Amino acid sequence: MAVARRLQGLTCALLLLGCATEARADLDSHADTQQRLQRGVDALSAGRLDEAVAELETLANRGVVDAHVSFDRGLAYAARLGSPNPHPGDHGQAIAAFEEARLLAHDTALAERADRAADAVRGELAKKRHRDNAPPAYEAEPTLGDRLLDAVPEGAWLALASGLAVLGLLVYLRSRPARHAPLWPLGAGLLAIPCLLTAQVQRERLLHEQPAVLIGSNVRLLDPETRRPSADADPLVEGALVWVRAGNDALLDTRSGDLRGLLPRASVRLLARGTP
Amino acid sequence: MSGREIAAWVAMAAVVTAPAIARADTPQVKIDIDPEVVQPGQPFRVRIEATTSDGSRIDEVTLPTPAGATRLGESQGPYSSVTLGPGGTVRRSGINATYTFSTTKLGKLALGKITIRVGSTRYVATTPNIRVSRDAPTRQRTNDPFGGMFPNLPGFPGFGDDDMFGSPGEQASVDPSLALPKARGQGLFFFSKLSKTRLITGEPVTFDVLEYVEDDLRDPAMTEIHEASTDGFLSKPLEVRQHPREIGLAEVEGKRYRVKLFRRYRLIPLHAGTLTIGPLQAKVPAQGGRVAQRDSQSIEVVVGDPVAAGRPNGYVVGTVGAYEIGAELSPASIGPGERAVLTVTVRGDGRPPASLVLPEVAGVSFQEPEIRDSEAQTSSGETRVTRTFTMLIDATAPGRHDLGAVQLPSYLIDHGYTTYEARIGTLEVSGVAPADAEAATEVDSPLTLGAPLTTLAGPSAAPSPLPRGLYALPLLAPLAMLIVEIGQRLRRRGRNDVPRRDGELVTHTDPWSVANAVVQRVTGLSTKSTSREEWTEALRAARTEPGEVDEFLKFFDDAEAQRWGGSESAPALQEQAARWRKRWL
Repeated sequence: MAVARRLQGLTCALLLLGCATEARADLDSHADTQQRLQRGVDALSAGRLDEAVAELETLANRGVVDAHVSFDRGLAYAARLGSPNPHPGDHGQAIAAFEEARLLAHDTALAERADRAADAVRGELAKKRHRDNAPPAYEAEPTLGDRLLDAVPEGAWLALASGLAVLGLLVYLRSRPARHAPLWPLGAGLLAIPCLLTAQVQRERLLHEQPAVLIGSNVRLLDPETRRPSADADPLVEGALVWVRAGNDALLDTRSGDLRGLLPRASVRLLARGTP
Repeated sequence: MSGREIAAWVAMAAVVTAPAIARADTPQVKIDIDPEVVQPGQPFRVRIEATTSDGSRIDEVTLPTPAGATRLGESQGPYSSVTLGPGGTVRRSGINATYTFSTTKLGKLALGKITIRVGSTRYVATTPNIRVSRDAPTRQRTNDPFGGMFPNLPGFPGFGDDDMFGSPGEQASVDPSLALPKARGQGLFFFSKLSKTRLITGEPVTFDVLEYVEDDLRDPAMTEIHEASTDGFLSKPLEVRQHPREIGLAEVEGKRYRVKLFRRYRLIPLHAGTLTIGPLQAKVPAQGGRVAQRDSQSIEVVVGDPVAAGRPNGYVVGTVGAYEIGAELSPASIGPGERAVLTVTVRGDGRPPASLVLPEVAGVSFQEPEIRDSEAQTSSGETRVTRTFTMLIDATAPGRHDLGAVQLPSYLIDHGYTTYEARIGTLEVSGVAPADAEAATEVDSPLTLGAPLTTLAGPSAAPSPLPRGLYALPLLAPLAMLIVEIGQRLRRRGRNDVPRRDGELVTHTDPWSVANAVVQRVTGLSTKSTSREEWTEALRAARTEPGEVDEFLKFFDDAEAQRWGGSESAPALQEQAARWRKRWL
């Protein structure tokens, strides 16, 4: 018995030590991330824009998913746009960072601020394209389906389908003794089917599509068969929001509004949506 | 007398000494021993070919291990031959068995008796002795004892097979680098080999699958070969031959193996993490006509990203290795509405870069490049990829523009980051409209987007889909409707409900109700709203069996009488009611 008690005690001690070590590692990681963010912000404030971008990109490369980090990264890219030494793709990178901050934001204030910032960078990009006499570029508008799906989440569609089905059932049960029951409960039940399908589409999108922003300029969607852009396709505008379905090292299967095609991986920045 | 001639003599002797099996309809045995005189410890091989010409199937050939000898290996396989002669075509089929032994006992060694089983009949053949002597000659391993007269002839064992005459492990040297602690299968197995197991994203590495075949076995015909999975790697086959080349001899657990380079790939890890190279799988023939599977082992590779410290701007993770970069601008001067073309060529032994760092020059913009790859073999046999970026250059401001240099940041293993550069040169632009030139000189003003955020926001939960089970909720309502409907029907059947013409259901438990329901069901007329003559006539029209309607009318009258207090006994009427309900409802 004494040996068993000692073993139990030893096991508890080891478990506590393990938890403490893990917690310590989390604290170290958090502190390191905070420190690096501070260095990026300091560099941004001091006008060392390349350094600020490098610091904040390092956090992204290390898998840090944080709305404030994304927002600051957007600020760093946006600041470099106005500097004497802007880099190609800075517009797209800034828009991508702000869009990511909007998706990750906990509060609506930050989400709105990130949205406004992304719009401001898009405005600057439009002015620059006008000044440079840039060729026309295609800016995909969200489809009606996209708008509908964005406005109503999966759970709401599912609840609506369930509500219609239950309503139909209640009316049916109440009119059950009569031979000629009204037909509209059946209609309500049928209406539940498209709601259910829409919820399923929403679910598929959530599972298999990832938002991304175009960071390259004059990029055309490639035909999946020939892997070449079609002759009449306009290039997509830098900073456009696209949806990535799948891909390999070189090309991504992408949807932009109604258009589908492949995009070079290097011309697209995938947006984080949070930690699972 | 050469070894082959002696072996043939031995075979003849074996047939002579086995009169019981030398008849035409009994199995014929040929025995080949090589070498017939061995040194102590030197392996020797006994090859037995047992065949029949009448189609009888030879089930088994066995040769026990001789006393004082050690069995090193054994293989058996089907054998068939066709001989064209003056008497016509002779087809023989049977088993070809090869045994490898070694012994340290000097003197004569009796090999014992060979047993051949054909169905339930057993035949026995005697074998000659071999001699073990320290004076036995040693032979050089040779690939062709006939001096190239017979190249490798598949399907004719013994002719040109280098394992036929190369006695295992005499003079042929064993490569210690191919040695393994343990064999992964009997006879033949695969072994996966990776030059490094800790890599940096983008660092190329060579992946080999080696085929180990016991030295005294013929090359088996493999089927269902499944290549090793290399998820997470960019994979390029460097060597995939139908007949893999032999790269040396190896000793594994005391046995000698011929080692062949079965596959060679060049792998480039695409992302950091622990990546697994799966096993290569193949089916090989085994003893008794069976098929066995052989798998190489899986390999785990730990891949990390290059260090963040000192990472140059524009570096893309995965660009690893040394590159040569060159740039060419054509033409060097352009007029109004014209474009120049910049061609950047990158050549290296690593993964071709996905992008380049282009200079930002006021009044000049670079279009998205078109990327093309080409491969070339170097003198050392390695493949080098050349990636060409071709892009158009638009100029919006006149003048002489120094385009600076195009850059390619890369990471050199053990040396850190470096940036390769190629000068583009100067572009002369003439004749751009003054208005455009003015517009082109404008610069972006800094955006006012507010102050940066200095604290972390904290983790954000990724949106996750609802549990799949919730999708059953809307289906529950139709299910409930179905259950209610089935319940109603069952209840109705139990109570013998009869639907009236107006659709309402009534339950008939008394004879009078049953009588009325029967009339209504059969004639469609109500006894209340029509005269008795009318519904009686309709009833007779509907039911033509003689006496049946009259019998019913009596029941009807009795039921009516009972309803008004008649003398008809209730149980008798109930019984009749049940009978009419059963017959006409």
